Amino acid sequence: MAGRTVNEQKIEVRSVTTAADIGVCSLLFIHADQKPNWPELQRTLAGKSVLTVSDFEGFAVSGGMIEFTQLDSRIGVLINTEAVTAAHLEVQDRLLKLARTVTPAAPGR
Amino acid sequence: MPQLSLRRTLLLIVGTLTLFITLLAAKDVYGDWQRLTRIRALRDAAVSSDQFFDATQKLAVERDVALSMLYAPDSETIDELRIRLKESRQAADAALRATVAELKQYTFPDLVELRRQVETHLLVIPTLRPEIDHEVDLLPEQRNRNLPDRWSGEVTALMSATENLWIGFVSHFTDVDPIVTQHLLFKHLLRTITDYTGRERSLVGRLIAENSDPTPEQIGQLLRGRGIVETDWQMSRMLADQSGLSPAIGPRYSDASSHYFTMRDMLQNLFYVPDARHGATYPIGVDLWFELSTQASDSLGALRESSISETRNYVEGLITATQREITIQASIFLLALMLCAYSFTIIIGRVIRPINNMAGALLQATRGEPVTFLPPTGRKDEIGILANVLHAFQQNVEHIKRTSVQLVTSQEHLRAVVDTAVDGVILVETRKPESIALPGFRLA
Repeated sequence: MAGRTVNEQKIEVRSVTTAADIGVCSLLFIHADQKPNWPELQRTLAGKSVLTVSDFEGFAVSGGMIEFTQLDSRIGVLINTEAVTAAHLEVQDRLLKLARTVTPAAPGR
Repeated sequence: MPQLSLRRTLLLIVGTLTLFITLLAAKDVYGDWQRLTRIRALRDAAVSSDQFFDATQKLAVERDVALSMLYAPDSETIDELRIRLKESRQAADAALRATVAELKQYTFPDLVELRRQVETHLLVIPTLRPEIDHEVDLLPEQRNRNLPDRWSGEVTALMSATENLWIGFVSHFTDVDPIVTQHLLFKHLLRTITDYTGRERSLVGRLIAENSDPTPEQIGQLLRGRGIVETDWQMSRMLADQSGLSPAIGPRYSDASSHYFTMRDMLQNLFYVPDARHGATYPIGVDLWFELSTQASDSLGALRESSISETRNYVEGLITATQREITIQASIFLLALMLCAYSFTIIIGRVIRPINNMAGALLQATRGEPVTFLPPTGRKDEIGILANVLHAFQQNVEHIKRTSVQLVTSQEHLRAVVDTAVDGVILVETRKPESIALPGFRLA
């Protein structure tokens, strides 16, 4: 993906290990191994227009924006539209048609 | 050969020069006007060419969606694609209608047969659509196994016929401007890329819908298509650089090629390698596959729109430049005519006529007729100098005449004295009174 372009913007791929290293980015993919660190990451990213994507279970309901999951042995997409809106981002209708929308879990659950 | 007068010689020279300049300027104006007409025709042809592109692209999408539905094993997949099929049919019909209507204004004889072939294939499409609608509602094992190949064959044949028609059509405009020809070739390469990525989309969609592995023939088909597409990407890059398209379309080109190569990487290990999935289910469904491939197709569409816009701007620039040339040539032509007319007037009025008048007056003078050379007022040129000289000459002549008259008068007076003298005339030199001269006598 590195060096390719999307919407006339060049894609730069960086690996980060701590929240402090995130800096400025458009999309943050969170590896399943980083699930324990997700709450801290979420606080760091609060208010920033960063699209969060992951493939660990429960990501979308816990405040993540896009979760890749398995639906009938195939890749499915779960989208937390509230989290997306809170980050001042927008999901295209054509993607929403292919995905399932989820609502975030209530705090404390 | 009788010698021409100065007036006629000058008239001949000025007239010949005027005619020469007029013919040269008129030739340039005519040439530019013909070029302007051709460029305008090229502009309209570029629009028609874009409609060809649009029509084949829409047909490809309809082909691929219908094929995926015909191979889909479950009603859920079919229902997901139903709306997309309906939209693609409407888009394809509209694009084809526009293309056929656009072509009617061109009466090139060599397009008649090519157009007939397109229209023949066009007639088959509406007959197959109801069959497809009927078959997709049946269970997979009840469906007509020949229909997918028939459908694919007819649509692909229609697209090939349309492409041949496009080639025949564009060949009439390749001698107008080399840059625009390169632009048209660029779009042709884009069209080929779109066609073959569409075929890949269709085949992959079918494999996903059936959840089957590609056969060696299908892998061969995919590899052939990929070879054509990647060669065309390279050639299109060269054409974009050579024709000056690159600065305007660079970002869109980068997006479209990035999208293509990202999709290629996604498909490589699953569909270009025999038995790659090892019996497992393909990771994405046919709806997600069509969405991903449509986004790549949209990137190509954006690139195409960008190149269309750039071609349009370039052609409009050509038209403006040619119109400006015509205006300049016509202005030079008129200026040359005016200069020639002015030269003619000046030469006749300020050179020939005064010389003729002077010559006439001198002739009169030689015949003893009274002539007056008036002094020129304000002319300091050669004619003015000549007129001054003639005036001075006339003054001298008048003076000589007057002097001559005086001499004659004196002579007559003297003769009268001599004739009437009785004894003779004594010439006395007042300074030497001693020397007195008598006629017939000489004193010592």
